Amino acid sequence: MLFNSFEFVALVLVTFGLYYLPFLRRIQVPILIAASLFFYGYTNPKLLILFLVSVIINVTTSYLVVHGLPQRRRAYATVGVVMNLLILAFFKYSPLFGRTFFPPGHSVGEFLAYVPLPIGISFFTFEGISLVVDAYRGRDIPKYRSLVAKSITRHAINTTFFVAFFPHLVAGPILKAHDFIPQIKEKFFGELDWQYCYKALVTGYFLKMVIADQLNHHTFWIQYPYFETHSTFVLLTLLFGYSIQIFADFAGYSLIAIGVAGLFGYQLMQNFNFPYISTSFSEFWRRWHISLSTFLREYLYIPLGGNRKGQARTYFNLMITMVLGGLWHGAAWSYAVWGTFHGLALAVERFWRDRHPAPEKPSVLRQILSGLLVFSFVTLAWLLFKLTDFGHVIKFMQALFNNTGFSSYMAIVVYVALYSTPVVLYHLYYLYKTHNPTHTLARRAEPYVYGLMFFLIVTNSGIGTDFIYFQF
Amino acid sequence: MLKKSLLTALFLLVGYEILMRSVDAWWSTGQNAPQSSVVRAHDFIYATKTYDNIMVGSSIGNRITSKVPADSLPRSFYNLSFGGQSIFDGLQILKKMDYKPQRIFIEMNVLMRNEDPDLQASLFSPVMYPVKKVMHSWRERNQPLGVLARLPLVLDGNPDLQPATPPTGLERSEDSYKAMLAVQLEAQKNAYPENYVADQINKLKTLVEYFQKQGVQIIFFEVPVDPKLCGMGAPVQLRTMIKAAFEPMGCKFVDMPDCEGYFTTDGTHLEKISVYKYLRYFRNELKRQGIMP
Repeated sequence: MLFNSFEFVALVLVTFGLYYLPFLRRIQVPILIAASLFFYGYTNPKLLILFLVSVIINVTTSYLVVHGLPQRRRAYATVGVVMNLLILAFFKYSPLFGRTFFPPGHSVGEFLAYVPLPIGISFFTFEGISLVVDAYRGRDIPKYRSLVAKSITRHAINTTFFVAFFPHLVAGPILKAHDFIPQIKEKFFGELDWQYCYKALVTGYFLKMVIADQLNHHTFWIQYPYFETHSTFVLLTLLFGYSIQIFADFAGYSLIAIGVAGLFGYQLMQNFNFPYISTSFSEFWRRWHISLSTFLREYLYIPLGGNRKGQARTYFNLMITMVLGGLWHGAAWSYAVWGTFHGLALAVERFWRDRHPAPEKPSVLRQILSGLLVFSFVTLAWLLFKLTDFGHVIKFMQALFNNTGFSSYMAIVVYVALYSTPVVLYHLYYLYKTHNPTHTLARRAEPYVYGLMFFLIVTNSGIGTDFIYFQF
Repeated sequence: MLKKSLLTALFLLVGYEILMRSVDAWWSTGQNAPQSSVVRAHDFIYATKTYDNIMVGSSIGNRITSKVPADSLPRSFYNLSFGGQSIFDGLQILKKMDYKPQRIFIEMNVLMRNEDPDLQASLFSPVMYPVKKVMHSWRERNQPLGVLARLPLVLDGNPDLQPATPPTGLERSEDSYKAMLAVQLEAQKNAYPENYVADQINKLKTLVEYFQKQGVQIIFFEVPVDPKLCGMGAPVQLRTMIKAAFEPMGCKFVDMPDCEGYFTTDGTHLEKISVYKYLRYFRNELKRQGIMP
């Protein structure tokens, strides 16, 4: 069920109506669980089987970690993490494994190639890992001890809700148990922050429906063989457009998720923080898909040793984290290459900074050049998301260099520029706000800007498409 | 903040609706291929005028009017061919509207593509179909940013109100043309698996029978493509099998003319100069076969 569908709007309205009825207040969480399971199984009820199996594994292992035999805590936690990873590996990477390691026509390879990819699996398995690991860490971190309730029934309800809560279920933000579970309690209609929800929903729907969905039909031309026919200038424009589109699509999704969760009294973590103003790669990863980058940092990079084991090991840890982070996105080697590129960028940047520390107050010119460098690199790397066949990536790069003499189809340029402008302004406005904390004029204009966005959502939306991150 | 914002949106919605009802924004069309399909379908679905002759097809048939002024076909024609879509899309629209024209012209070039369920669902959505019928400003044709982006065209005047100027020369970029032609040659050199084609033909037969029962005459036509592609495995197979299946059902055929002398932008889509040439042939054929006066 898409966020930009009437079915979804109906589901939210009905759930919202029931949720705040005073006589149903005690079953608010079960109401949300029922709505979430309906949401997830709406187009394919069979998906619920795997989802519930995953939930049962996480409920059991996390409960045993806290309330089972103390000497077996580590074993229970290991089993929980491994089971989550096995589910993810089997359903997500079987096709890649089958295509890579078996000859065409081989029965095992054929079987693996057709293992279906359940939507949202990358997200709910990571959340399961977060729960098991946080439960295990409860021994050292006092506030984590309350994550697993004494009653197995209560724990099962909390866990199911934590993983299934529909705004974040299929494409994040990836929740961490220690952030979300403490929020589970009765919610009151009077405590609703309407402005927060409205702003998140309007911005989210605007980014998705007006920007990403409109750009989607122009960046279509990045597909093989169509890019062969376009000039270098148009190809660069399309790359820029795709960079804007993927941001608008995913940041839009995340904001809708945050807004809808807010309607039910829950706060999800911010997933994007104006990533395209980043002046370094490390800053980019603090601003882009924050829930994934913080997950990788907390549950992979730091346990690997982070930057505590010397320089060489730090670079290695960065690389391994980014390669695995790349592969998390999809079962194609192009994602691993994408992760490797970013890992290399982070390692090289760190190496450089260790030897040439940046000045305390870098000049504006230096910041602009750094920002352009980071944006250009990130944008070029998105090509590996759009073209998962590596051969096509190489052909695209060849076209980029060879098609200099082609005539440019200016309509594409005009529309990409038109629909990218709001995202550019969105980032510039953030910069303006950062440097002018009072920004009275901008604050006064805000209601009208939101009104304009609302108007454009109604009158200027593109043809609805799946969210890009649904495939991950 | 909330009240101000919602009132702003309401004010803009009402104002823009009034503007769109008082101005014919002829210069605004779809901003991309799928949206152009929706605009073309909306113009038909919400039209007050009825049409005796309907064309259904893909982007190949779509060129027959989209690249030339509206006087290129008699006013009784409406072209329900959509870029990136199939003949089944146009036929499904007619069926859903219970539309009974005198004749349906079915393009033969792209039989293997199926209808787009998303396009059908969006056109006849139980919510948006009646809303867009009433609210002109909510239709894709009138999207504010689309209207704005193409505003400079207003300076040239509405081409539909001016006499058509015969095109001269080619629009295509030779490099693009060669690149795409190579891809098309590779894609069309082999025939499709026989059973795939048979399945599509059976699907089409059901629709043809349905319309014939309504008293509609069915005419198949094939648009010429690049001379290098005309005799390739795939088009030859489609041509042969479609004819064998539908001629016995009483369907008429406007056979493809000799491809020599026809120019395409990319191997399959006619250049404007060749669209005119084909239209002359097409209209003469209709006269010769007694399909239309």
